[in-house]
Amino acid sequence: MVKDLLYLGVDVGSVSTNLVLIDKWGDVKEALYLRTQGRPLETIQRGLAKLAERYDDHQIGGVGTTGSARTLASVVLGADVVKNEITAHAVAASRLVPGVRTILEIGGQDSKLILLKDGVVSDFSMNTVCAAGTGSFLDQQAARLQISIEEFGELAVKANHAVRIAGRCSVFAESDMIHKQQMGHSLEDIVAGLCEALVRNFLNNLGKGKKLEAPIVFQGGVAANVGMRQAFEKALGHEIFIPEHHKVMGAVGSALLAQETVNRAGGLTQFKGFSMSEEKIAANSWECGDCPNLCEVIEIQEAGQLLARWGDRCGKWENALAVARSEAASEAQLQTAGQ
Amino acid sequence: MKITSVLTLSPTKVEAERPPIIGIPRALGYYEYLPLWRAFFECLGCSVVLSPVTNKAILDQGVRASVDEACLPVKLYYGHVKALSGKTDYVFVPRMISVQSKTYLCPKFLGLPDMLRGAAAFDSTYPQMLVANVNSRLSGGGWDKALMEAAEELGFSRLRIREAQKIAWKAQKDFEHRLIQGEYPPSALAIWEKSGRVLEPEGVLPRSTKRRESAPSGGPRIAVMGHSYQLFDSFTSMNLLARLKAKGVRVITPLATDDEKCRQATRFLPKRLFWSFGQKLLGSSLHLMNEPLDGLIYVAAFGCGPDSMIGEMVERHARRLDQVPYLLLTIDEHTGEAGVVTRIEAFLDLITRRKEGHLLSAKAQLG
Repeated sequence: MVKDLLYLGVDVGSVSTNLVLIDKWGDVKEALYLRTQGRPLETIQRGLAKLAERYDDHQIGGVGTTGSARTLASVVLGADVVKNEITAHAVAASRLVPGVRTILEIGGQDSKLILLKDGVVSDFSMNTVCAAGTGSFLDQQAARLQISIEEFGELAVKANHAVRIAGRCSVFAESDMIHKQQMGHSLEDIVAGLCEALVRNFLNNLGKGKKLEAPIVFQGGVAANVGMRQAFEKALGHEIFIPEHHKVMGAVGSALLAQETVNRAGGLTQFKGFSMSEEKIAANSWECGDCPNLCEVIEIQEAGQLLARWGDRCGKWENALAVARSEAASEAQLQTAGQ
Repeated sequence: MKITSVLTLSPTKVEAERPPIIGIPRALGYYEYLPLWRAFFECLGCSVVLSPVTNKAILDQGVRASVDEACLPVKLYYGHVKALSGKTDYVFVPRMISVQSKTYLCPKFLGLPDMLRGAAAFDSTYPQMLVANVNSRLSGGGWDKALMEAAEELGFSRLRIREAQKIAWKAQKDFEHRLIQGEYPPSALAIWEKSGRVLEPEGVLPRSTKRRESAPSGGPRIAVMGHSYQLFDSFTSMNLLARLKAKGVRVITPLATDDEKCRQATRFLPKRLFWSFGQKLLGSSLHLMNEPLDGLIYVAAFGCGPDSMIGEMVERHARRLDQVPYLLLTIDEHTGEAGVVTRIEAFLDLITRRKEGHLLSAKAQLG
């Protein structure tokens, strides 16, 4: 009997790399949450190797990638669909929490606010260059206070009253926290105050002028933090839902999108197979000095063969690869015709 | 058109000697007035040199030289002026105070030559400036007076200047007509961006032999609002227009809406807008929102005062109608391309998914 096909979703973000497998009903069968640690290629391969222990190639019906390294991941895996994080998160949330109107998503280095209407995105916003209020900042502060990030949220819930902390900028927030510590406030109150400051910052930056309607879903790595959830509930006056797979929702969304794309395209996946976890894949980059733009060109090689190039504003390095490819293809065609 | 009447006059000193080389920075007013300026100076016999297309070096140089409070496009202007040093006798720096009756440009346009002088005081490599004050709020104080004063300073005769103005306006009107027809400025400007001499010796305007670029058909119709110097500088806009075009989007820019339509669309406002660019952006946005439109992208320059207000007003009207998805892209010198690309992709997804009519959620219910 043919086993039911599974769909692989991969979300490569700044802090974590998540891989999920969903079945054709959209249920999550497997979810991996790995720290990217600045090595996206290796982390993807590590995740693939883990999945390869239990699954084989022909079980995979489609692959989708998302996250800031979505292009990189798609080249390595052979993705059927490459989608931005906003669409991926929205697709996942509206499938897992039908009727959702507002999605709060806080990841490692970015935060997003997505509003939906009738199951489709109607508006969204994303934080700009500033990382205040994202997961990395919480990580950093937890480390400074010498408490684990898991404990952080628990502490906040125990607070008597949250201290007011300036959350406008992570640097100022930190000096404000130190000041409050010196004044003699308890750790719980300070941690709770920090959560409230981050929520305030999130709502001011991303929610300005927008109407946040219930049901509200909170996802992303930071959603595990009960202190943050509590602060959001306090600020918004609504119950906040945290989906079971809140940490990997981007990956779930891209798996759902992969299923949709493959079905629409006639059922064949581009997946290169789990063997990619063992391939020697190298990325290198150089600064092109042909014009004053000094673009940083990135090149991905698999076993000495060039897979992809990007980063050039003018597109000449990218095009050079495409030309080389089409020439090779026509040559191969000629040869087969000759035979 | 021929300028024989002028050619028979005995030349003034400057005309007999080598006429000066005029540099035009590829920034700010360039995208809207290049044909006027270039045709004018070439008609006088000057050679015209344009600064290079914006690149990282020009941006870096501009950011370093300018005051911190300036917006990105003004910072960029500094870089373009500097890029012309050593290549010209004068750099043409118009002080655009008012180009339409009863309106003003923003204070940074008004103080542009002075800000540059301030920077040049500490840096001897700045090229010499030829300043023209355009103030249509004074009687007879528009472009004609500004160009007249600037050219007289160079030593040209009034008669010759008037003749050059006639031809220059013809060039400008032709360009503006093409924009109203929906042609993109990069394409409409192309004939005026050639190196060497563009105007033929008899003062005949150049004709483009290239086929006019038209937008693709069938894709979503999206209004992309923003100052011309922001939208059409592909470096600072991170190739926004080309990216949208590659995705099959039918882009409409503010330049395709004429002033009368803009005026009609803003008539219901309690107060008249007194910034010309602001009036154009708001008027064009409101006008286009009354037509079938799939989305509106407002490209704001970081540090631009009028944009922070006009962008907000456009957003409120887009939301009030609740029909037009709105995306605000604020661009500064630190903006990462990744963030912009993600936002554009998500915005286009939003539009297509909206059109497809929640296919996925319907499927989910069936499943």
